[in-house]
Amino acid sequence: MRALGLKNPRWLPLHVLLGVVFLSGLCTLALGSVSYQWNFEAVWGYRTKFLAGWAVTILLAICSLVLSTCLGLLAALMRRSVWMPFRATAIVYTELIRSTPLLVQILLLYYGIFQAVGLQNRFVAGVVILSLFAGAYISEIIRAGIEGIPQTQLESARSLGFTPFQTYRFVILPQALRQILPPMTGQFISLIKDSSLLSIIGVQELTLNAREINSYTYSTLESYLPLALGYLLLTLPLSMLAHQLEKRIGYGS
Amino acid sequence: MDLEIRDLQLGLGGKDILQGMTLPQVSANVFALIGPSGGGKSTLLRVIGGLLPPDGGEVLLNRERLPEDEKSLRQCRRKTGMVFQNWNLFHHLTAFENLMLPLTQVQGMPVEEAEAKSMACLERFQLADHAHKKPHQLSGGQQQRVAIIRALVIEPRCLLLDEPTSALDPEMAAQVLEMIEEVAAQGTPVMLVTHHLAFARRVSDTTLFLAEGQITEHGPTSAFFERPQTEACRRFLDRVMRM
Repeated sequence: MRALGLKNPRWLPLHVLLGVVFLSGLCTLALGSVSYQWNFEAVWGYRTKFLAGWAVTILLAICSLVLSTCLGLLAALMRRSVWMPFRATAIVYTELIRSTPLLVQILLLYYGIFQAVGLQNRFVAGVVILSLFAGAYISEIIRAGIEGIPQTQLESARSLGFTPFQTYRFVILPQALRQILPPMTGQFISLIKDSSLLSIIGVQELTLNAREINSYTYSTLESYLPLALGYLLLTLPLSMLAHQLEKRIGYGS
Repeated sequence: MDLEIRDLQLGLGGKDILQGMTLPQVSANVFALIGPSGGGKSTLLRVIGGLLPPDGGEVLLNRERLPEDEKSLRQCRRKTGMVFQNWNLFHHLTAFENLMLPLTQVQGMPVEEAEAKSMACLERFQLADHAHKKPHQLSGGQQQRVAIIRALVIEPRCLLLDEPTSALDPEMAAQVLEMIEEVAAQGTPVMLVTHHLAFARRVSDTTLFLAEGQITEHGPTSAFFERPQTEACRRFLDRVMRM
C-alpha cells in the first residue's frame, strides 16, 4: 500500500471513492460545457460485439503471455550462455525490440515478413508479434531475477555436486521466480494494453470492435468509455495482485 | 586422511594466489589451516574440495590424485562436505528440504531412506524442532549447524570448513565450534580454515601455516603452537594470540 502513499490500508476504499468522484466530476463539467448528446441505446445493440472483442483481447493476452514467457526464458538463458553466438543473438534481439516502437514492429512484421512467409491468420500473427515484443522485456526481467541470486547460493550448489542443469532446476529458477513474479505481473498488464495496437492490422479485438461500433453508431464516447472500462476490468485486479506479490517478496530478511 | 601437495599453482583474476605450494605427505584426522588473510587458505580449501581446478601441480588426497576435468571434479565434490562462511543453505527451502535435496537428487538415495536419515541427523544435533523452518527463521548459528549437517548427511570422505564461524557472534560461534569438535571426535576427517586459534589448537592434530600462497610451516599442532619454527609464523601467533 506504500505505493499508493497510504499509511493505513483500511482507508483505501474511501480514497478510491474520493478519487473516482473527483475525476468524474471534472469529466462531467468538461462534457457539460460542450452539451454532449448521450445515446447509449444504439451502442447497447452491439453489446455482443463488445463482449466478443473483449474475449479475443483476453485470449490474445493469455496466448502471448505463455509464448512470450517461453521466448523470454530462452533469451535470458541464451544471454547467460558460455557460447558467444547465443549471447550475441539474445543481445541483438532484446535491444532491437526494446529500441523500436511496437507499432512499427507490428507494421514491419505483419506487412513485411508475415506476408512474405504466407502467415495469413491475423490472430496468430498478433500473438507472435506481441510475444516477440513482450519476450524481450521478459528476458530482461528473468535475467535480473537470475543475476539477483547471491553467488553463495550457486557455490553451495556446486560444492554439493549439482550439475549446472540441477542448479538451474532446483536453486536458480525457484529463487528467481519469487523475484520475477511482481514485474512479470506488470508486464502482463502492459501486454493487455499493448494488444489494442493490433487493431491496426485488423485483429478483431476489443479496440477494433469499439472503433467499428463507433463508425456504425456515430456515438464516440458511448463506444470508447466501455472500451476503457473493458481494459480496466482486466488490468486493475492484476495491478492489485502485483502489489500483493511485491509485499510478499523476499525471505523475511 | 592423507594430504600431499606438489607444486600447486593457481591464479585468480590475473593474481597469483597459490605459487608453487608444496607439502610432503601428512597424515591427520583434523587439519587446521591458519595464517594471515590473503595467504591462500580458502583457495587451497576450494582446490581440495574440487571447486577450483588448479593451473598447475597436483593435490593428493588419501594418495589419490585430484582429477582435472569438470565431470570427475563433480564426482569429487559429491564425496566431500563443504561449509562456507555464511549463506550456505538454500533460502527457499526448509532445513529438512536443504538436507533432502542433495541426498535425493545428487546422491540418488530413495526418498524414504533420505527422510529417515535427514531426520536422524537433525535429531542427533538437537535441531529436529527446527526441521521445517526456512533459513531466515533460524539464527545464524542454527543455519551454520544445519549447513554442517547437510555436509555430513552424505557421509563425506572429509569435511571442509571455510571460516564457518567468522560471521557469527561469540555465543553462536561457540555452539558451532562445539559441534565441529563433536564431529571430529567421532572420526570424520576435517579440514578447517579458522581464525579461532585456541580452537584450532584444541581440536586439530596437524596445523598448516599459509602465507603468500605457500605453506611456510606445518607440523603436529602441539609442537607447532609451542615452538613455531619461522619468524613470520612466530610473529603471526604473537599478534593473534595476544588478543
